[in-house]
Amino acid sequence: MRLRCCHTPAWLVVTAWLIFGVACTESSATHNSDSDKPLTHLSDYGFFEGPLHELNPAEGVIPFTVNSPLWADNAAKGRFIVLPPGGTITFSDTEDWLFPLGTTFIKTFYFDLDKTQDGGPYRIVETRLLVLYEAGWKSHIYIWNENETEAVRHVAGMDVWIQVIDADGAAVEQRYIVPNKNECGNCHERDDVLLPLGPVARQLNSMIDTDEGSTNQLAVWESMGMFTEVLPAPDSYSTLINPYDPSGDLNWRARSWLDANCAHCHRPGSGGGSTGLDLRSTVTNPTKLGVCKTPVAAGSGTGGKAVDISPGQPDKSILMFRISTLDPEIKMPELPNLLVDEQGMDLIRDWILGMEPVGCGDEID
Amino acid sequence: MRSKHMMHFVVAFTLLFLLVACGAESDNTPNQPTGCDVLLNPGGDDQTTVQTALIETPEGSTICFASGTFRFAKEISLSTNNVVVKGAGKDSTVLDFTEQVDGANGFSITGDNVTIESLTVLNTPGDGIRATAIKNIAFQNMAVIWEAESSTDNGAYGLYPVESDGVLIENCVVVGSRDAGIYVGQSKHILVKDCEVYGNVAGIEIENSQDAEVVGNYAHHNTAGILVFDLPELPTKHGQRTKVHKNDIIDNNLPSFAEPGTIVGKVPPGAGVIILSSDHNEVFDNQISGNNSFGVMVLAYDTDLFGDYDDDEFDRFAEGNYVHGNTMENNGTDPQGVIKAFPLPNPMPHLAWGGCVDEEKDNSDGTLTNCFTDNGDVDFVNFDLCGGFANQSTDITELDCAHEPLANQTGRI
Repeated sequence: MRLRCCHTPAWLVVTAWLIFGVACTESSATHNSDSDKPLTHLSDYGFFEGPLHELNPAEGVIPFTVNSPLWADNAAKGRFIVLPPGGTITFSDTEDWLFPLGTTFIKTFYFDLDKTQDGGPYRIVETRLLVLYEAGWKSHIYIWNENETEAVRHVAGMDVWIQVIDADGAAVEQRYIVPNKNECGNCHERDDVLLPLGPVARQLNSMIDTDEGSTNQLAVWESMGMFTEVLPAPDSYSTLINPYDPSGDLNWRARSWLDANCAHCHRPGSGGGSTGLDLRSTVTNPTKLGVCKTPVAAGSGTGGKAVDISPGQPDKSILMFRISTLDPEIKMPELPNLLVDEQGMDLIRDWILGMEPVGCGDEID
Repeated sequence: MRSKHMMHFVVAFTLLFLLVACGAESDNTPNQPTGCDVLLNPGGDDQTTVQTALIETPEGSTICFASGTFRFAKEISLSTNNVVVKGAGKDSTVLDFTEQVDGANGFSITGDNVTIESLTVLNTPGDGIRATAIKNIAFQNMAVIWEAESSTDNGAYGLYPVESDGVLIENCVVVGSRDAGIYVGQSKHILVKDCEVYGNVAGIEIENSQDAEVVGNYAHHNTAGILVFDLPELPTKHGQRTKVHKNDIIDNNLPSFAEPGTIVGKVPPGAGVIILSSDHNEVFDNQISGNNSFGVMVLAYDTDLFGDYDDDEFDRFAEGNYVHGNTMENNGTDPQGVIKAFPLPNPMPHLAWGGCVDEEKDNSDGTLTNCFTDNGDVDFVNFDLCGGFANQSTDITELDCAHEPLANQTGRI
């Protein structure tokens, strides 16, 4: 029930790695790139040393963090990347990095079981792998047993019930839906191709604490020899921020939240592209962002409202309505979430409230 | 490593074997699908059984659902190419989503060359079957049904292919959708044939699509029968060339239960056929009767009616449409909704044209003229939408023209 690696931010492990590791050219983790047949047990890959639930990364298994995480029913996530021996990443200051064959991303979802105290206990529920094979990226989902001694591959998804003590000290049961394998594509597929989402410049360009002090995460990767070329200066390209940190700029917090939670789908080529709504942080056209944009095929998703965003009027904004509900027909994003991201909701509300009203969307309501 | 791989193969093959074996036991049950690579039986953990099969069954397979009711609490999805999903008949195999708690669709399809046939999708809280960005999707001999009549809890679309090329919808039934029963959006090469749609807000809608044929369908007792729309702010533009013929479009007078704020929510009850902004469509040889607001309306996108837009590429004018040879009776006798609210004739004529013409285009050869020809002795109105209804005209003679007939479609590429 304890998790030593990942409830503490991954930089702790980065620190350990910097102390004990030297170069990133060798990996002791088992690679599977010669075949796209996944292994049955998570432990078979050798990503972790010691008891599996401690998620102690083996050599060559590099933890990382993202600036703006996707909401997943309040799960915490531990993220790792494994490059094949000698493999390096070709960088881009936007997205679509080129990864070497065999690259594996490891994302483990776990829950804080007692919200009245810091530091756990935790329950690890699932670990997702995204592996680059000859035929492209493929996803595999491993569901942990209750004793956290092993995780076994599942394709059809599963409902997991978790007993949690909430912030008020009340015992509640949380239902968490592990998605099925196809559902990975709901977020990760663009133009019919599965792609990683987190490892893009705007998500990884952040300061992390290492034993050498606060260091840029990408600079750390660069110092490990993980990139093919010399990186441009970190301040030379767009970067997301933590949406939940109230000290940040409101507009950019909101844009960071939308980028992480919506833009995987609402962008050209992805599942929500057909709506014309494009919520990437790089978009500047207000209509594409939903401002005064009429819906297309929203059905009940409109909630009787006329436009996606009515500036100054969150209650007349479809976007606000859809991120605030759990009705499967209406809720956004279209993920198996059973809890609303209330902090995210408040953030978007404040963001829309802060926009200068222009009166669109007033015709209904 | 190798032994582990072998283990995996063994597990996979064992699973397939078990699925097939299970099917073999029930072969003596009457009315079961044939030609199956996998036969799924209902009654266990349907969610896991079905979803596992949909993921693990290899390309080129036929996945069969035995007769009976399969129950789902979540969306099911298929991303494999070249798969046939087949029930024992739409009255025998039911995929029941009444208890669904997660997923915007009942069944979501993203694989190319997929056929869904001979089953019923029941009571999805969201859309029935969505097919996204597919080359060759077919729905045949199947149904999507919401049992609750005109319920605001019903899903928006029954059969919902979008951004696809090669769409075949044949001999299907859709009942009770809150938006369009059969909705084909942003797609190409479409055939909707011999379907029955009723109790929906819109029976059939072809939106921002090109080269469609809608033939032999029976659209009745919906709010509106058949819609051919081109809307702004969508990635796929210039909807055109939908051929609507040999359909029976009858008594579409159902009070609308669409969500306010949707485009279809602005469609008045009693509408037979509407062409909105779309160009070069052909509506002919249909039986259009008993639709209380009008038989066929052709109009430009009007921001007062449908809302503002910001889309420089959008052409709001409906041009070059050809409405001819239809049999029309008892349309427009009791106009509803905006038709009743606006200063329009009452009763309303069978044929209505908004009259908005793009003066900036060269129409010297007449290809952009909307032609209304040989529809029998029925009345007509140009209701001067762009002139604020001020100069309405019932003179149809200048629109007595013809365009080249459109090609038939196979719904395949």
